[in-house]
Order: sequence, then C-alpha cells, then structure tokens
Amino acid sequence: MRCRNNLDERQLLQRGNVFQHTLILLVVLLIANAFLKEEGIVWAEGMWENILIVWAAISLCFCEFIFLEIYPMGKGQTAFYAVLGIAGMAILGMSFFHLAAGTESLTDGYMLTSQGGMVLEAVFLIVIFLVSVFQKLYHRKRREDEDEDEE
Amino acid sequence: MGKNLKLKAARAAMDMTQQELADAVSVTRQTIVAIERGDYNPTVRLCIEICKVLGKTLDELFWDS
Repeated sequence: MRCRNNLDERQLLQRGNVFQHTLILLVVLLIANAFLKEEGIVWAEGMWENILIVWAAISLCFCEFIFLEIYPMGKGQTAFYAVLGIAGMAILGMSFFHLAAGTESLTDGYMLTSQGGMVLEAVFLIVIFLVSVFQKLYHRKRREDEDEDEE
Repeated sequence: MGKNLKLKAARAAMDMTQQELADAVSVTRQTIVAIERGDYNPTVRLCIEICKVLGKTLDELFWDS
C-alpha cells in the first residue's frame, strides 16, 4: 500500500497538492518579478532575484511537507531540516559579521545587495528548521489529544 | 463526509489501536485517524485491506445507509 519512498496513498495525494502550491507560488512570483523588471524595478542585486524566488517556493514546499508530516526522504528528513537550520544560522552569523564590520550593507537604496540576499536565504533556511521544531511539538500535543479521544 | 464510527467500532471490537491497524494495512496512523474522522476518503484498495484485517465487508464499514 506504500510506495517506494514509504508514503501511503493519502500522503501521495497531499504531496501532489504541495507540489501544486509550490508551482503556483513559483509562477506567481516569476510573473510579478517580470512585471517589476518591465517597470525598471530591480529589487535584488544580480541573480539574487531568481535565487530568492526559487528559495521562497522551496521553503513553502518544505514547510507544507513538515506540517503535513510527509517525509519523502524517510527518517533522514529530520536530520536534513536540522542541517538546513545550522546552515542558515551559519550564513546569518557570517552576514552579521560582515555587516558589523561595515564592509557590506543589506540594501543599496531599494535594492537588496548580495549580502541582503544571503541574509534572506538564511532566513528561509531557519524558517524551515523552526517549522520542523514547531511541528514536532504541535503534533506531539495533537497525538496526545487523539490518544485521549481514542480511549 | 461524517465520521466513520463503524470503522472505529470495528477496530475497537478487535481490540486494535489505530497504530496497529495502520501497520496491518501499511499506511500511517494519521491516515487511519483521517479516515475515522471522515477527513479522508480512502481508495477501494485500502478499504478492502481494512475490511480484510477487521473481518468485515465493505458494506459493513463503508456504506452509508
């Protein structure tokens, strides 16, 4: 009844919905970015516009996976989220070091610099990690409620 | 879709937990919870698996009269 990656039929259905949401967000953000470019508005330096759009979509995808308890990578998924969180904190730490040293700035006028882009990317990574921690706590509480309900 | 109390009653009659039923039919516990709450409409294939494990017919567990 479970497929190769250990997801059952309900989880496969939900995974499809998550991918659908991710694709919709990606398309909406790309179209919005295209309109902004057409108007001559550049909100992030260089390729950071596209990188951040992709990260925003990926973050939504991971957050939904976490909240719906879908683990396509199996048990290694939790460790993966922890690694993302550590990477995010490392990037954030390095960025703050550069910002504190005054060598870089987050924005240049209304445009995010590459340093600003990195900070935002780190925030996405940390959000994924925090959602996974919150999910653990929330689902533990919910499971206790369900167990009481079962009795 | 309302709660599937018949499934819950049949499982309880067999003295099975949601986890045990989930393991028996190779799905997650959350899927059994969702079916019992009426939040998820299972495929016929899964319904048949559940019926086999609980020793009931599809009509007895999944037919709303």
